[in-house]
Amino acid sequence: MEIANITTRVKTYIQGLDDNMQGGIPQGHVTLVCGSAGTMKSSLCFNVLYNEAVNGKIGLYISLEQSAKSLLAHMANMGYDFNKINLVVIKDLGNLKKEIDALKASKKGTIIITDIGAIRKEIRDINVTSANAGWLNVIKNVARKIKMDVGFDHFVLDSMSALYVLSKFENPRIELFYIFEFMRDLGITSFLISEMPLDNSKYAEYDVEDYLADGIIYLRLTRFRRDVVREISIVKMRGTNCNNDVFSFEYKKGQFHALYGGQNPLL
Amino acid sequence: MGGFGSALKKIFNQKRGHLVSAWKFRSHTILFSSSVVEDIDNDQQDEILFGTKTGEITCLTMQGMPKWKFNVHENLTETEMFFFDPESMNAINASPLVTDINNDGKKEVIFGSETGNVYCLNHFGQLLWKYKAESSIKGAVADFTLNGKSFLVFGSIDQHLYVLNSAGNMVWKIKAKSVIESTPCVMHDHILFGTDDGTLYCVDFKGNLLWGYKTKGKIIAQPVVEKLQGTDEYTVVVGSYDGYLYAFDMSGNLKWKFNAFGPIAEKVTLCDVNSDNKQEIFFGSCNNLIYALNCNGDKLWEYETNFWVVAPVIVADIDNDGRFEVIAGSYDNAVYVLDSEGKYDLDYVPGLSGVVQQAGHYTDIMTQDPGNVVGTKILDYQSDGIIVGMAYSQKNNVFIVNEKQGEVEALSFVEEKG
Ligand SMILES: Nc1ncnc2c1ncn2[C@@H]1O[C@H](COP(=O)(O)OP(=O)(O)OP(=O)(O)O)[C@@H](O)[C@H]1O
Ligand SMILES: [Mg+2]
Repeated sequence: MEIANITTRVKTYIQGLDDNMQGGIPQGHVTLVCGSAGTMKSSLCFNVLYNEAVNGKIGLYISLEQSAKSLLAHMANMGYDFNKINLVVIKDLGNLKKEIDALKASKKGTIIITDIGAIRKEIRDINVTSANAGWLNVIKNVARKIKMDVGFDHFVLDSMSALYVLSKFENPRIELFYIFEFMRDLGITSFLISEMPLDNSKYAEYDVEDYLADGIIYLRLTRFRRDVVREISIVKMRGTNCNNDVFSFEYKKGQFHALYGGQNPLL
Repeated sequence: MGGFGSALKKIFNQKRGHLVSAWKFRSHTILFSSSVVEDIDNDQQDEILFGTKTGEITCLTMQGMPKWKFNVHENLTETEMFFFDPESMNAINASPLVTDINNDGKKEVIFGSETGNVYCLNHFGQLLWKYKAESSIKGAVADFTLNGKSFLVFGSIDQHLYVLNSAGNMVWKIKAKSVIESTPCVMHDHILFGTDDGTLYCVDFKGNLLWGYKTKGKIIAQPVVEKLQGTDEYTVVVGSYDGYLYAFDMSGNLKWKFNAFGPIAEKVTLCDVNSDNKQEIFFGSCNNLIYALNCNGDKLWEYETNFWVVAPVIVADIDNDGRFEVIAGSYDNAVYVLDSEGKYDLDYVPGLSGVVQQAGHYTDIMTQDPGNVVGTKILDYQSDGIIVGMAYSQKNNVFIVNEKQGEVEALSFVEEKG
């Protein structure tokens, strides 16, 4: 019996990588996308949501640090055609329902960007924000509401590191366990972006995220003489026979590529 | 005094019996804290009051019949709702305060909730007033009297300590450096409270800081202030999540600390169980142990349960033999009735038996005495769930046990004849 064959997989849309991991990430997995600043973590995740949206799927992108405006400017520069999909930006929690209801009629796939920075500005005068669990609840409740109203398939949290600044975790091991369980219970495929320290000493803040996650994608900038090359590797992917080697990683003509061995122009 | 005398007394006097369940009330929600047992309506009968995760305060008779129920039911704006876990939005996290706050000769019921509201109900369960703090309230509300007037004091997740008058208007608030989950304790114009950064603060009735002491874990337990030594000197006793129990004088000087090896979540219980005119200290910890200490912080005995002991420990003479028992509920679902003085372990022969192994405790090999006092179980009762709260009605000699899954159970001691 081949259990792996039954698994529905979500493509990473990185040419050369999906073939090395049985076609993609098993649906419902929680994957940690780790890397230091500028390693294209956000771009990689957005790319998955975009391509899935082109195929009619709904993705929720929660941005805690980068404003939706800056994120979309970056993505436009990368060459994405936003006419192919619905793009919804949530900047005010009071509008969430209206925005979601408007989606119900549409047949196109969608990316819903929730701009937590803008929401914070919007509700400065509401006092509930000092509650430790407050922002985590916001994220969970946004996800719950969207799940109930229109349903969604993919989830990106950008980033865990920013979440830790916003809600102080008293008991990270336990709280993170419940966050991961929450995402699994929603039945969505999740990408959690984790900003790594520059010395790359650990994948995430509390040393438990990597155990809790079903998969880890590691992005890196490596110096080769005077050149700096981008690299990508799958550190782990549960339920998947995958190649854990380090690939060169590049974005060309609207497509991510994972290049291997002889294909690497530098080697 | 301890030792042989009381050991012998115990052999002859200990009554045999067990705890039986008188009734069980199912609240169909989650409970976080102990019930309060108090005669709130002057009918000479105790009532039982408890709060729930769904935001209800229920008042039961000692027979387990509901008298009234109050549901906090806050209407939040759509935006505000996003900040709460929908299931525990209205949760009442701690035991209510039952006291006559407005001097009308009847008691009121005062408690805070997850939405940050403090409610004051009359003894019929009708709302007299409510006050909105900036954020969630995890601890209970305490009260004090100043110049003949009553005041309420409580802490909030918004890091403030609030003082309200008896009409529910804020008199002052001060900001601590961290979240306040603890219940304040008031003694002689001193207000003591713990914060999540591990500090025990002492402020006066105007909110001026008198002193602070920083421990290494958060303090959510209510401090207890009492004359421990049999003298006029007061001692502050409080446990921390760093696993230590601390004792201070009223100026904030550390008198001693005791390593309990596990977070301490609830206030200690004090009682002079051996008639030495000094208070002994009883408490549970999250390394599964129930401890008895003397007033100098020396361990008298310990008893190991199978899981955390979070609910406050009760000291009472349940079998009416003139001696105190220690009653504690554990997360292992059991209620333990222990000998308050422990038992002199006569089995011990130095050099021969080495470590005497009894379930859950050990005696040191290197001891001078030909024996050791060990925590001793008289009996236990297996309930159906994790025990989060314990209360006692002296009038009825009944224990009110709160289980996390929503059950409130009354236990009483029944003597075995023959
Ligand atoms: N075609 C392109 N258009 C724009 N940026 C590109 C392009 N190709 C590569 N990049 C690089 O992408 C990087 C930013 O990507 P992205 O924001 O996804 O990274 P990140 O790891 O999320 O960064 P941060 O740590 O700032 O969140 C920039 O350093 C930019 O140079
Ligand atoms: Mg980014």
